[in-house]
Amino acid sequence: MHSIFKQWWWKIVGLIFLTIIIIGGLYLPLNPGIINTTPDTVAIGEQVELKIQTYNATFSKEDNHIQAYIKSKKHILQADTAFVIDANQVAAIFTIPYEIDSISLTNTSFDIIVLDEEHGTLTERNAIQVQNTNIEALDMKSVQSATAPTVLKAKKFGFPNREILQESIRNLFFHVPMWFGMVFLLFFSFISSILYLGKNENKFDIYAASAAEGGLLFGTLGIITGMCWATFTWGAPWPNDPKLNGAAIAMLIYIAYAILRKSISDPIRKAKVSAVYNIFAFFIYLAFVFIYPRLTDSLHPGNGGNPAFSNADLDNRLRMFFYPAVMGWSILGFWLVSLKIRYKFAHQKLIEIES
Amino acid sequence: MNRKIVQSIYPLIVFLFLSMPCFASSSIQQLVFSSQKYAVVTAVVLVIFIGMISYLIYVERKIKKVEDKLNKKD
Repeated sequence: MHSIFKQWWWKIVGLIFLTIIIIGGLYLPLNPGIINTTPDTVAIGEQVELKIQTYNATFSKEDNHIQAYIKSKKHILQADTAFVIDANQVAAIFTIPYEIDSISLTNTSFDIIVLDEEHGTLTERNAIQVQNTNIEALDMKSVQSATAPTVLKAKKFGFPNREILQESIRNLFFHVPMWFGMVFLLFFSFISSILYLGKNENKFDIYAASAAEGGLLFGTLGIITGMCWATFTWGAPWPNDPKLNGAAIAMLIYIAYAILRKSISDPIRKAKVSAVYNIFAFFIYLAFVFIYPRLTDSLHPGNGGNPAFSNADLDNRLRMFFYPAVMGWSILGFWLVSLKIRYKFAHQKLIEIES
Repeated sequence: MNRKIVQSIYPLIVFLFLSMPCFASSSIQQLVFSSQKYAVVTAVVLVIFIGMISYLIYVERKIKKVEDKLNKKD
Protein backbone atom coordinates (compact mmCIF):
# COMPACT_ATOMS: atom_id res chain seq x y z
CA MET A 1 0.00 0.00 0.00
CA HIS A 2 2.71 2.38 1.00
CA SER A 3 4.58 2.00 -2.28
CA ILE A 4 1.45 2.94 -4.23
CA PHE A 5 1.37 6.27 -2.42
CA LYS A 6 4.80 7.07 -3.76
CA GLN A 7 4.00 6.14 -7.36
CA TRP A 8 3.10 8.72 -9.97
CA TRP A 9 0.82 6.98 -12.46
CA TRP A 10 -2.45 7.27 -10.53
CA LYS A 11 -1.81 10.93 -9.75
CA ILE A 12 -1.32 11.63 -13.45
CA VAL A 13 -4.55 9.75 -14.28
CA GLY A 14 -6.35 11.92 -11.71
CA LEU A 15 -4.84 15.11 -13.14
CA ILE A 16 -5.93 14.13 -16.67
CA PHE A 17 -9.50 13.60 -15.45
CA LEU A 18 -9.45 16.92 -13.59
CA THR A 19 -8.11 18.81 -16.61
CA ILE A 20 -10.87 17.35 -18.78
CA ILE A 21 -13.66 18.24 -16.39
CA ILE A 22 -12.39 21.70 -15.47
CA ILE A 23 -11.96 22.76 -19.10
CA GLY A 24 -15.06 20.94 -20.36
CA GLY A 25 -17.25 21.73 -17.38
CA LEU A 26 -16.51 25.44 -17.38
CA TYR A 27 -16.18 26.05 -21.12
CA LEU A 28 -18.80 23.95 -22.92
CA PRO A 29 -22.06 25.83 -23.52
CA LEU A 30 -25.48 25.20 -22.06
CA ASN A 31 -28.34 24.10 -24.28
CA PRO A 32 -30.72 26.84 -25.31
CA GLY A 33 -33.58 27.57 -22.93
CA ILE A 34 -36.35 30.06 -22.29
CA ILE A 35 -35.76 32.88 -19.81
CA ASN A 36 -39.16 34.53 -19.77
CA THR A 37 -42.31 35.15 -21.74
CA THR A 38 -44.25 38.42 -21.97
CA PRO A 39 -47.09 39.00 -21.34
CA ASP A 40 -47.54 36.39 -18.61
CA THR A 41 -51.33 36.67 -18.44
CA VAL A 42 -53.68 36.26 -21.37
CA ALA A 43 -57.45 36.68 -21.65
CA ILE A 44 -59.92 34.21 -23.11
CA GLY A 45 -60.95 35.07 -26.63
CA GLU A 46 -58.07 37.42 -27.38
CA GLN A 47 -55.43 37.02 -30.01
CA VAL A 48 -52.13 37.54 -28.20
CA GLU A 49 -48.56 37.88 -29.36
CA LEU A 50 -46.21 36.26 -26.87
CA LYS A 51 -42.61 37.44 -26.88
CA ILE A 52 -40.34 34.62 -25.79
CA GLN A 53 -36.88 35.54 -24.55
CA THR A 54 -34.45 32.64 -24.98
CA TYR A 55 -30.93 31.97 -23.74
CA ASN A 56 -27.97 30.64 -25.72
CA ALA A 57 -30.08 30.21 -28.86
CA THR A 58 -29.03 31.21 -32.37
CA PHE A 59 -32.30 31.68 -34.22
CA SER A 60 -32.05 33.25 -37.66
CA LYS A 61 -34.75 35.11 -39.55
CA GLU A 62 -34.54 32.74 -42.49
CA ASP A 63 -35.49 29.86 -40.24
CA ASN A 64 -39.22 29.30 -40.77
CA HIS A 65 -39.59 25.97 -39.05
CA ILE A 66 -40.17 27.20 -35.54
CA GLN A 67 -43.22 25.78 -33.83
CA ALA A 68 -44.76 27.08 -30.63
CA TYR A 69 -47.25 25.42 -28.32
CA ILE A 70 -48.84 26.14 -25.00
CA LYS A 71 -49.48 23.13 -22.84
CA SER A 72 -51.39 22.61 -19.63
CA LYS A 73 -52.00 19.32 -17.87
CA LYS A 74 -55.03 18.57 -20.07
CA HIS A 75 -54.68 20.66 -23.20
CA ILE A 76 -52.22 21.51 -25.93
CA LEU A 77 -52.72 24.46 -28.26
CA GLN A 78 -50.57 25.25 -31.26
CA ALA A 79 -49.65 28.81 -32.16
CA ASP A 80 -51.22 30.38 -35.24
CA THR A 81 -47.78 31.54 -36.33
CA ALA A 82 -44.34 31.69 -34.77
CA PHE A 83 -41.51 33.84 -36.06
CA VAL A 84 -38.03 34.96 -35.14
CA ILE A 85 -37.35 38.49 -33.90
CA ASP A 86 -33.64 38.12 -33.27
CA ALA A 87 -31.15 35.42 -32.28
CA ASN A 88 -32.52 35.15 -28.76
CA GLN A 89 -36.10 36.32 -29.21
CA VAL A 90 -39.04 34.50 -30.74
CA ALA A 91 -42.65 35.66 -31.05
CA ALA A 92 -45.72 33.45 -31.26
CA ILE A 93 -49.31 34.44 -31.95
CA PHE A 94 -52.00 32.47 -30.14
CA THR A 95 -55.76 32.74 -30.28
CA ILE A 96 -56.99 31.75 -26.86
CA PRO A 97 -60.30 29.87 -27.18
CA TYR A 98 -62.98 29.60 -24.50
CA GLU A 99 -62.50 25.91 -24.09
CA ILE A 100 -60.40 23.04 -25.44
CA ASP A 101 -62.04 19.60 -25.70
CA SER A 102 -65.04 21.24 -23.97
CA ILE A 103 -63.03 21.93 -20.81
CA SER A 104 -62.98 25.59 -19.82
CA LEU A 105 -59.61 27.33 -19.83
CA THR A 106 -60.46 29.69 -16.99
CA ASN A 107 -57.54 30.15 -14.60
CA THR A 108 -55.38 27.47 -16.20
CA SER A 109 -51.64 27.99 -16.29
CA PHE A 110 -49.77 26.95 -19.37
CA ASP A 111 -46.21 25.84 -20.09
CA ILE A 112 -44.77 27.30 -23.23
CA ILE A 113 -42.97 25.06 -25.70
CA VAL A 114 -40.85 26.30 -28.60
CA LEU A 115 -39.15 23.85 -30.89
CA ASP A 116 -37.15 23.70 -34.06
CA GLU A 117 -34.84 21.10 -35.49
CA GLU A 118 -31.59 22.81 -34.57
CA HIS A 119 -32.30 23.91 -31.00
CA GLY A 120 -34.56 21.05 -29.96
CA THR A 121 -37.48 21.54 -27.58
CA LEU A 122 -37.35 24.54 -25.25
CA THR A 123 -39.85 24.67 -22.40
CA GLU A 124 -40.75 27.14 -19.70
CA ARG A 125 -43.08 25.81 -17.05
CA ASN A 126 -46.12 27.86 -15.95
CA ALA A 127 -45.14 30.65 -18.30
CA ILE A 128 -48.61 32.11 -18.85
CA GLN A 129 -51.88 32.23 -16.93
CA VAL A 130 -55.29 32.45 -18.57
CA GLN A 131 -57.70 34.97 -17.10
CA ASN A 132 -61.31 35.44 -18.05
CA THR A 133 -61.60 39.18 -18.52
CA ASN A 134 -64.12 40.48 -21.16
CA ILE A 135 -66.01 37.20 -20.92
CA GLU A 136 -69.12 38.78 -22.54
CA ALA A 137 -67.25 39.73 -25.67
CA LEU A 138 -66.12 36.29 -26.65
CA ASP A 139 -67.89 33.85 -28.93
CA MET A 140 -67.84 30.75 -26.70
CA LYS A 141 -65.42 29.03 -29.13
CA SER A 142 -64.33 25.48 -28.48
CA VAL A 143 -61.39 23.80 -30.24
CA GLN A 144 -59.79 20.39 -30.27
CA SER A 145 -56.57 19.79 -28.37
CA ALA A 146 -53.54 19.60 -30.64
CA THR A 147 -51.34 16.51 -30.65
CA ALA A 148 -48.31 16.74 -28.43
CA PRO A 149 -45.13 17.75 -30.28
CA THR A 150 -42.32 15.20 -30.34
CA VAL A 151 -39.52 16.06 -27.97
CA LEU A 152 -36.43 16.98 -29.97
CA LYS A 153 -32.85 17.13 -28.73
CA ALA A 154 -30.55 20.00 -29.56
CA LYS A 155 -28.13 19.26 -32.40
CA LYS A 156 -25.16 21.01 -30.83
CA PHE A 157 -23.48 19.58 -27.73
CA GLY A 158 -24.55 21.33 -24.58
CA PHE A 159 -25.32 20.65 -20.96
CA PRO A 160 -29.06 20.51 -20.21
CA ASN A 161 -30.65 23.85 -19.47
CA ARG A 162 -32.83 23.28 -16.42
CA GLU A 163 -35.11 25.78 -14.79
CA ILE A 164 -33.71 27.28 -11.56
CA LEU A 165 -30.35 25.53 -12.07
CA GLN A 166 -29.41 27.08 -15.41
CA GLU A 167 -25.64 27.67 -15.64
CA SER A 168 -25.10 26.43 -12.10
CA ILE A 169 -25.72 22.86 -13.33
CA ARG A 170 -21.93 22.83 -13.89
CA ASN A 171 -21.54 22.58 -10.12
CA LEU A 172 -22.39 18.91 -10.56
CA PHE A 173 -18.71 18.41 -11.50
CA PHE A 174 -17.42 20.21 -8.42
CA HIS A 175 -19.86 19.99 -5.52
CA VAL A 176 -21.13 16.41 -5.91
CA PRO A 177 -17.69 14.74 -6.35
CA MET A 178 -16.67 16.26 -3.00
CA TRP A 179 -19.22 13.96 -1.31
CA PHE A 180 -18.21 10.97 -3.42
CA GLY A 181 -14.57 11.64 -2.51
CA MET A 182 -15.56 11.90 1.15
CA VAL A 183 -17.34 8.52 1.01
CA PHE A 184 -14.33 6.84 -0.65
CA LEU A 185 -11.87 8.34 1.84
CA LEU A 186 -14.02 7.41 4.83
CA PHE A 187 -14.45 3.90 3.46
CA PHE A 188 -10.67 3.61 3.19
CA SER A 189 -10.42 4.87 6.77
CA PHE A 190 -13.01 2.30 7.89
CA ILE A 191 -11.18 -0.61 6.20
CA SER A 192 -7.89 0.56 7.72
CA SER A 193 -9.43 0.61 11.18
CA ILE A 194 -10.68 -2.95 10.75
CA LEU A 195 -7.25 -4.04 9.54
CA TYR A 196 -5.63 -2.29 12.49
CA LEU A 197 -7.78 -4.19 14.97
CA GLY A 198 -7.06 -7.44 13.13
CA LYS A 199 -3.35 -7.10 12.47
CA ASN A 200 -2.27 -4.63 15.14
CA GLU A 201 0.11 -2.85 12.79
CA ASN A 202 0.67 0.81 13.44
CA LYS A 203 0.58 1.81 9.78
CA PHE A 204 -3.13 1.03 9.53
CA ASP A 205 -3.81 3.45 12.36
CA ILE A 206 -1.96 6.14 10.44
CA TYR A 207 -3.96 5.36 7.29
CA ALA A 208 -7.25 5.52 9.18
CA ALA A 209 -6.49 8.83 10.90
CA SER A 210 -5.23 10.55 7.75
CA ALA A 211 -8.06 9.33 5.55
CA ALA A 212 -10.67 10.46 8.09
CA GLU A 213 -9.00 13.88 8.11
CA GLY A 214 -9.08 14.01 4.30
CA GLY A 215 -12.73 12.96 4.37
CA LEU A 216 -13.44 15.80 6.78
CA LEU A 217 -11.73 18.25 4.41
CA PHE A 218 -13.84 17.02 1.51
CA GLY A 219 -16.99 17.18 3.58
CA THR A 220 -16.24 20.76 4.65
CA LEU A 221 -15.66 21.77 1.04
CA GLY A 222 -18.85 19.96 0.05
CA ILE A 223 -20.86 21.82 2.68
CA ILE A 224 -19.42 25.24 1.80
CA THR A 225 -19.85 24.75 -1.96
CA GLY A 226 -23.34 23.42 -1.31
CA MET A 227 -24.18 26.53 0.70
CA CYS A 228 -22.98 28.74 -2.15
CA TRP A 229 -25.03 26.78 -4.66
CA ALA A 230 -28.15 26.66 -2.46
CA THR A 231 -28.11 30.46 -2.03
CA PHE A 232 -28.71 30.90 -5.74
CA THR A 233 -31.00 27.98 -6.47
CA TRP A 234 -33.01 27.33 -3.30
CA GLY A 235 -32.87 30.91 -2.04
CA ALA A 236 -31.14 30.26 1.28
CA PRO A 237 -27.73 28.88 2.27
CA TRP A 238 -29.23 26.37 4.69
CA PRO A 239 -32.80 25.35 3.84
CA ASN A 240 -34.15 22.79 6.26
CA ASP A 241 -33.30 19.84 4.08
CA PRO A 242 -32.73 16.34 5.52
CA LYS A 243 -29.62 15.82 3.39
CA LEU A 244 -27.98 18.98 4.72
CA ASN A 245 -28.77 18.16 8.32
CA GLY A 246 -27.69 14.54 7.87
CA ALA A 247 -24.41 15.63 6.32
CA ALA A 248 -23.81 18.13 9.14
CA ILE A 249 -24.38 15.45 11.80
CA ALA A 250 -22.09 13.06 9.90
CA MET A 251 -19.41 15.75 9.86
CA LEU A 252 -19.79 16.24 13.61
CA ILE A 253 -19.29 12.50 14.15
CA TYR A 254 -15.95 12.65 12.37
CA ILE A 255 -14.94 15.87 14.14
CA ALA A 256 -15.58 13.92 17.35
CA TYR A 257 -13.24 11.22 15.97
CA ALA A 258 -10.50 13.82 15.48
CA ILE A 259 -11.04 15.17 19.01
CA LEU A 260 -11.02 11.64 20.45
CA ARG A 261 -7.64 11.01 18.87
CA LYS A 262 -6.23 14.22 20.35
CA SER A 263 -7.57 13.48 23.83
CA ILE A 264 -5.77 10.16 24.45
CA SER A 265 -2.02 10.44 24.93
CA ASP A 266 -1.05 6.77 25.15
CA PRO A 267 -0.45 5.82 21.47
CA ILE A 268 -1.63 2.21 21.60
CA ARG A 269 -4.76 3.01 23.60
CA LYS A 270 -5.43 5.90 21.24
CA ALA A 271 -5.12 3.71 18.17
CA LYS A 272 -7.38 1.00 19.55
CA VAL A 273 -10.13 3.23 20.93
CA SER A 274 -10.24 5.40 17.82
CA ALA A 275 -10.31 2.35 15.52
CA VAL A 276 -13.36 1.01 17.34
CA TYR A 277 -15.00 4.44 17.25
CA ASN A 278 -14.21 4.79 13.53
CA ILE A 279 -15.94 1.52 12.68
CA PHE A 280 -19.09 2.69 14.49
CA ALA A 281 -18.80 6.16 12.97
CA PHE A 282 -18.75 4.88 9.41
CA PHE A 283 -22.04 3.04 9.79
CA ILE A 284 -23.68 6.04 11.47
CA TYR A 285 -22.30 8.19 8.65
CA LEU A 286 -23.85 5.88 6.05
CA ALA A 287 -27.18 6.03 7.86
CA PHE A 288 -27.20 9.83 8.01
CA VAL A 289 -26.01 10.48 4.46
CA PHE A 290 -27.60 7.65 2.50
CA ILE A 291 -30.62 6.38 4.42
CA TYR A 292 -32.06 9.27 6.43
CA PRO A 293 -32.48 11.71 3.44
CA ARG A 294 -34.27 9.04 1.43
CA LEU A 295 -36.95 8.58 4.06
CA THR A 296 -38.38 12.08 3.64
CA ASP A 297 -38.71 14.58 0.85
CA SER A 298 -35.54 16.41 0.06
CA LEU A 299 -34.60 19.27 -2.21
CA HIS A 300 -31.72 17.18 -3.46
CA PRO A 301 -32.51 15.16 -6.57
CA GLY A 302 -33.08 11.46 -6.19
CA ASN A 303 -34.25 11.56 -2.59
CA GLY A 304 -37.62 10.99 -0.99
CA GLY A 305 -37.95 7.43 -2.19
CA ASN A 306 -36.22 7.34 -5.54
CA PRO A 307 -32.59 6.44 -5.92
CA ALA A 308 -30.30 8.92 -7.62
CA PHE A 309 -28.82 8.48 -11.10
CA SER A 310 -32.20 8.28 -12.77
CA ASN A 311 -32.42 9.69 -16.27
CA ALA A 312 -34.45 12.63 -15.00
CA ASP A 313 -31.55 13.86 -12.88
CA LEU A 314 -28.52 13.04 -14.94
CA ASP A 315 -28.47 12.90 -18.70
CA ASN A 316 -25.76 11.32 -20.83
CA ARG A 317 -24.00 14.59 -21.60
CA LEU A 318 -23.63 15.25 -17.88
CA ARG A 319 -22.56 11.66 -17.20
CA MET A 320 -19.71 12.05 -19.71
CA PHE A 321 -18.16 14.60 -17.37
CA PHE A 322 -19.62 13.54 -14.03
CA TYR A 323 -17.91 10.15 -13.75
CA PRO A 324 -14.44 11.51 -14.66
CA ALA A 325 -15.09 14.30 -12.15
CA VAL A 326 -15.82 11.79 -9.38
CA MET A 327 -12.69 9.82 -10.26
CA GLY A 328 -10.51 12.92 -10.60
CA TRP A 329 -11.51 14.59 -7.35
CA SER A 330 -11.35 11.31 -5.41
CA ILE A 331 -7.85 10.63 -6.71
CA LEU A 332 -6.85 14.16 -5.73
CA GLY A 333 -8.26 13.43 -2.27
CA PHE A 334 -6.18 10.27 -1.95
CA TRP A 335 -3.15 12.23 -3.12
CA LEU A 336 -3.64 14.84 -0.39
CA VAL A 337 -4.14 12.07 2.16
CA SER A 338 -1.06 10.19 0.96
CA LEU A 339 1.04 13.30 1.66
CA LYS A 340 -0.27 13.38 5.22
CA ILE A 341 0.40 9.66 5.62
CA ARG A 342 3.97 10.03 4.38
CA TYR A 343 4.47 12.94 6.75
CA LYS A 344 3.29 10.82 9.66
CA PHE A 345 5.64 7.99 8.75
CA ALA A 346 8.55 10.42 8.50
CA HIS A 347 7.60 12.00 11.83
CA GLN A 348 7.49 8.58 13.48
CA LYS A 349 10.89 7.63 12.12
CA LEU A 350 12.28 10.89 13.45
CA ILE A 351 10.96 10.14 16.93
CA GLU A 352 12.50 6.66 16.75
CA ILE A 353 15.87 8.15 15.79
CA GLU A 354 15.72 10.69 18.59
CA SER A 355 14.88 8.18 21.31
CA MET B 1 1.29 31.02 24.14
CA ASN B 2 0.45 33.22 21.17
CA ARG B 3 1.35 30.43 18.87
CA LYS B 4 -1.12 28.10 20.59
CA ILE B 5 -3.93 30.63 20.28
CA VAL B 6 -3.21 31.13 16.59
CA GLN B 7 -3.16 27.39 16.07
CA SER B 8 -6.51 26.92 17.76
CA ILE B 9 -8.13 29.75 15.80
CA TYR B 10 -6.56 28.65 12.52
CA PRO B 11 -9.39 26.29 11.41
CA LEU B 12 -11.95 29.02 12.13
CA ILE B 13 -10.01 31.54 10.04
CA VAL B 14 -9.74 29.05 7.23
CA PHE B 15 -13.47 28.37 7.40
CA LEU B 16 -14.37 32.06 7.27
CA PHE B 17 -11.88 32.61 4.48
CA LEU B 18 -13.36 29.72 2.54
CA SER B 19 -16.92 30.95 2.85
CA MET B 20 -15.95 34.43 1.66
CA PRO B 21 -17.02 33.90 -1.96
CA CYS B 22 -20.47 32.98 -0.64
CA PHE B 23 -20.96 36.23 1.24
CA ALA B 24 -19.42 38.28 -1.52
CA SER B 25 -21.67 36.88 -4.17
CA SER B 26 -24.88 37.10 -2.11
CA SER B 27 -24.55 40.88 -2.12
CA ILE B 28 -24.45 40.92 -5.91
CA GLN B 29 -27.20 38.33 -6.12
CA GLN B 30 -29.23 40.41 -8.56
CA LEU B 31 -26.34 40.64 -10.97
CA VAL B 32 -25.75 36.92 -10.77
CA PHE B 33 -29.38 36.14 -11.49
CA SER B 34 -29.19 38.25 -14.61
CA SER B 35 -26.04 36.49 -15.80
CA GLN B 36 -27.67 33.07 -15.51
CA LYS B 37 -25.92 31.95 -12.34
CA TYR B 38 -22.50 31.38 -13.82
CA ALA B 39 -20.87 33.27 -10.96
CA VAL B 40 -21.87 30.63 -8.42
CA VAL B 41 -19.87 28.06 -10.41
CA THR B 42 -16.83 30.32 -10.20
CA ALA B 43 -17.38 30.72 -6.46
CA VAL B 44 -17.63 26.95 -5.98
CA VAL B 45 -14.46 26.27 -7.97
CA LEU B 46 -12.68 28.98 -6.02
CA VAL B 47 -13.78 27.51 -2.67
CA ILE B 48 -12.49 24.05 -3.63
CA PHE B 49 -9.24 25.49 -4.94
CA ILE B 50 -8.59 27.58 -1.82
CA GLY B 51 -9.58 24.68 0.44
CA MET B 52 -7.23 22.18 -1.15
CA ILE B 53 -4.36 24.64 -1.38
CA SER B 54 -4.72 25.54 2.30
CA TYR B 55 -4.66 21.83 3.19
CA LEU B 56 -1.46 21.47 1.14
CA ILE B 57 0.08 24.44 2.98
CA TYR B 58 -0.92 22.87 6.30
CA VAL B 59 0.76 19.56 5.39
CA GLU B 60 3.80 21.29 4.00
CA ARG B 61 4.34 23.26 7.20
CA LYS B 62 4.27 19.98 9.15
CA ILE B 63 6.76 18.38 6.76
CA LYS B 64 8.99 21.42 7.11
CA LYS B 65 9.16 20.92 10.88
CA VAL B 66 10.39 17.35 10.39
CA GLU B 67 12.91 18.51 7.81
CA ASP B 68 14.23 21.20 10.14
CA LYS B 69 14.71 18.67 12.92
CA LEU B 70 16.54 16.29 10.57
CA ASN B 71 18.76 19.10 9.35
CA LYS B 72 19.65 20.01 12.94
CA LYS B 73 20.73 16.40 13.54
CA ASP B 74 23.14 16.57 10.60
